[in-house]
Amino acid sequence: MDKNLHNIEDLFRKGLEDNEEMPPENSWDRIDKILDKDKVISIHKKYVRLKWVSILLLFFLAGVGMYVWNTRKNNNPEKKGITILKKEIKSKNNKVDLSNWDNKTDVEKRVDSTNTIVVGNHQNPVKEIGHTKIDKNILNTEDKKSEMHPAPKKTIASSITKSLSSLPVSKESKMSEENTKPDIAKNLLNSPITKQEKKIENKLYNESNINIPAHHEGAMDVDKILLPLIQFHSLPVNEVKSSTTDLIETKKLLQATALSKPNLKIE
Amino acid sequence: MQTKALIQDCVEGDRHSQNKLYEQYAPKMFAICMRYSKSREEAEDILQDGFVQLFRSLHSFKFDGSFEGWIRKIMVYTAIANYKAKLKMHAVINIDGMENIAVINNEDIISQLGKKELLKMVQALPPMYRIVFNLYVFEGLKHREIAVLLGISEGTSKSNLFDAKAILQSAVANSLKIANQNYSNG
Repeated sequence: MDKNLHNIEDLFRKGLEDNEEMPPENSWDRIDKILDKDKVISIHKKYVRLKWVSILLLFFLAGVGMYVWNTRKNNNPEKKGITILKKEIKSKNNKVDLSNWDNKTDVEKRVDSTNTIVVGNHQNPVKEIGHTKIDKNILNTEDKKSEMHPAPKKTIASSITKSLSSLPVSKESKMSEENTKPDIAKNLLNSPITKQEKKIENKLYNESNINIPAHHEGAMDVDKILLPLIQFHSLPVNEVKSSTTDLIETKKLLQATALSKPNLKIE
Repeated sequence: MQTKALIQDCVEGDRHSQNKLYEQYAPKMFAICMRYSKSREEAEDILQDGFVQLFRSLHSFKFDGSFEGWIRKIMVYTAIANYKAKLKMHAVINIDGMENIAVINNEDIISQLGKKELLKMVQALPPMYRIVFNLYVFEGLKHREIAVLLGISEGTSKSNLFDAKAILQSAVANSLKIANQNYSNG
């Protein structure tokens, strides 16, 4: 039996090993069609890829275009200038808007409950802790302004007066001050000096050994302005003496003193 | 050298070269497909799928071994894939009534029965038996390899081969009997 089976293997191996059979004629046509389909599918796939690539390319080109357009727009000299200006303005605004310091009404000066003086405009208040501190920027700006546009002394005086008078003063202090202090505004704006003021002025100058020029009507307008203020604020004469030579310094001192004057109840 | 150039052209997608390659190898491959299939139609399907697969994967041929052997392998694998796809449709055949055949010379049997008759016997085998028989006898695979390839145990492979040979032996015996009767009558 086993031998027969073994023979069966050999029988079939010999009989069918190198056998050849012609396939039907249409067999190749069927294969050809399938291969064509494959080609179409591959082309379709290729076009799908091409579509995506073209879309991506389009986005990329649009991005580059936008970038170039923006760069050119920013490089435009006129626009660039405007941008720089805007930036400068912005940076200024971030500090304190000092451009409108001629208009003192825009400036807020107040003292809160903790005796803190706040100086600045509505948008950019500058908070200072203490009584006598003043924003240096403000003073520097004043300095610069005065250097650049030396205003007539009367104008400076009036501005100081204005700034002082613009401070809100409580009724009580107003009442008490009205009796004791001279009308500063009157003294500053109406130049003629009263006899009493003249006396005080002379006394002060004598004490401080300041040489008063004979013709101090015009040139010593500063003194006219300052002396009553010095007197009013009870300033030490020596300090004033050292600073009277410099009008701006004096002005600063006065401003500082005026703001820190405890008698003036600033709200 | 000519085959190499032909293969290169086929890889590039030249349809004429592909047709040439088909015509060169189709008869041999169709004979193999016939052994693995139940009918001619099924063999045509295997041949068609095999050649499509061949042209798709032709770029992976490295010219290391025989090209004919490579194509043959593709056809066999296609046939196995075809068998696996139709696995659920195959009915289990009961093998009974085996007949012993007289020990005679194989050449004589082949001359008496003819190659077509032998092929029909193989085609008549149950699918699993047919594949195992083909893989073992014609492809020279071992039972371990057949088991791995078909996803069956080695024992099953051996058993299937034994049964297949038994069926074929019975079929050859019957055919010889009929042939002898016809010869004596004629």
